[in-house]
Amino acid sequence: MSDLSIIAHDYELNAEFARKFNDAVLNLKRLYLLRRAITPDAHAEIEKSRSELQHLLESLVLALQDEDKSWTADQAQVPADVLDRLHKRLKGELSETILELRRVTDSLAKGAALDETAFAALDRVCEAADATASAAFRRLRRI
Amino acid sequence: MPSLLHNLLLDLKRRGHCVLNELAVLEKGLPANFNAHRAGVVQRLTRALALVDDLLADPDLADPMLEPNFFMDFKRLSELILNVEDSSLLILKRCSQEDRFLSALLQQICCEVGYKEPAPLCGALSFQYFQALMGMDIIMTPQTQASELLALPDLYHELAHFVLFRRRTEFEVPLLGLIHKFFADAIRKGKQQGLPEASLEIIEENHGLWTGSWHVEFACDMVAAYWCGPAYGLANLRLSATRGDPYQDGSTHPADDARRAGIECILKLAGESQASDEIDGMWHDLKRLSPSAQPAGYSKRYSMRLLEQLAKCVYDACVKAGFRGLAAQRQSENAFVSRTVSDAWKAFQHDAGAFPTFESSAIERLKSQLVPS
Repeated sequence: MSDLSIIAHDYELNAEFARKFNDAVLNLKRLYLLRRAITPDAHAEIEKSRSELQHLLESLVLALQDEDKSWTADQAQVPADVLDRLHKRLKGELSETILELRRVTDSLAKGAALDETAFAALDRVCEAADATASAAFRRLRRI
Repeated sequence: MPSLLHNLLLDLKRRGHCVLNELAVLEKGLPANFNAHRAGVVQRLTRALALVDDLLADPDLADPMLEPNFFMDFKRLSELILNVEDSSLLILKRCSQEDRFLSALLQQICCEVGYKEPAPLCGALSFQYFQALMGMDIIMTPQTQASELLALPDLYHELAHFVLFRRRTEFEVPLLGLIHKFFADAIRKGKQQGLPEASLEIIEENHGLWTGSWHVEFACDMVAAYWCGPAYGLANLRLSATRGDPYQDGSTHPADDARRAGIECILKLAGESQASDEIDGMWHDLKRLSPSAQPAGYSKRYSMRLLEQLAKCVYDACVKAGFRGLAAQRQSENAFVSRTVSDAWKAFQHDAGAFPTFESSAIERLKSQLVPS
């Protein structure tokens, strides 16, 4: 009824997206950037991160690309606040970023390794999602 | 030398344990529903502190390529601990008679409406009217809520926030689909008709407001009206009278008059057309008293066609979810809260002057049923 219920709704969606995206990126960075050896236990974790990230990226790319295309339920995976922030932050680089994120999605689908350029694009999403969650938290707690 | 992040994590661990210790002390003396909430929070906090330990032990914590991502993890964990401290711990430590009564009342409402998840805990500690904190499983109410009936329908609205959030694919996502389609059609038609760029921008702005937060507020009103019936429409009128301008909107909330229209759509679908018309009549009175006028572009901003589509979608989702509407609750002898809420509004409309006597005895009756001493 008060604004806080809506802000709480936004915060939970934004924080969950930020956490999921960041955890997957973190796991994959260990493997592809730091070249950490994968134990049999960690193998399943890496596969889960790849699949989760691929799924989130597919939704994100759909939501970011040409707005004239019709909306699909998949796009609801990405909170509207995160999309707004990405649109504002990327402005002139939006089309290149979408291309790069598409390339990362393809690599994930093919089981290929991710390179530094891929992680640079992924980090841009992580940062936007994190900033969105933090902003919602500040509004929620008024700090 | 340990990194800043390492020290921040140590501080977080200390803060988390401090909250955990306070929660442990509270175990004795709490009623069952409060203790269940406490146990859930302890479990969450313990998991969060285990993650903090994992981060502290991570050999890559200070690696420059990963450190910013670890810092993001720190922030989410830190937010959780602050949220626990500011909401759960606050209510559990107080656990006043009012909090116990309102929590039991909400638990009963959940049973009556067919909300199958554990009922959120209620605290009469809000300084900002009603608030639903979905992540913490808590609803904050105004401080005098335990001794008043006419605003009780708003508790149904807050419970509906949990439905929208937890059953997002059944409730929120289909609404977003309808809204996106509606505005995409409007833009397409606008372009075909050669509307000026400024008009297309207004359509886009409205689109953003509807998909931003408005759809959630409309849907929560609609679920609450499905559960609570005409009493919700009346409580909304009462609240709107206090808020003033019925046409004023903001980024989080649509105009009260548009919310009225959404509520009326549900009442009609539920077979409460007569009550809906009566509420509409009272709204005409309220608008007559209000100096504000409908702003230009209002009817385009709040399309009745879109509201009707949303209402049908919410109504169907409620039926599919197995929620009980007011008519079904009326047939159940056990639905004494919904009966009390409906009776309260009837009593108020019949004789507002005599209402306080009705209200105090009805509340005493509810207390004796829900929190017998």
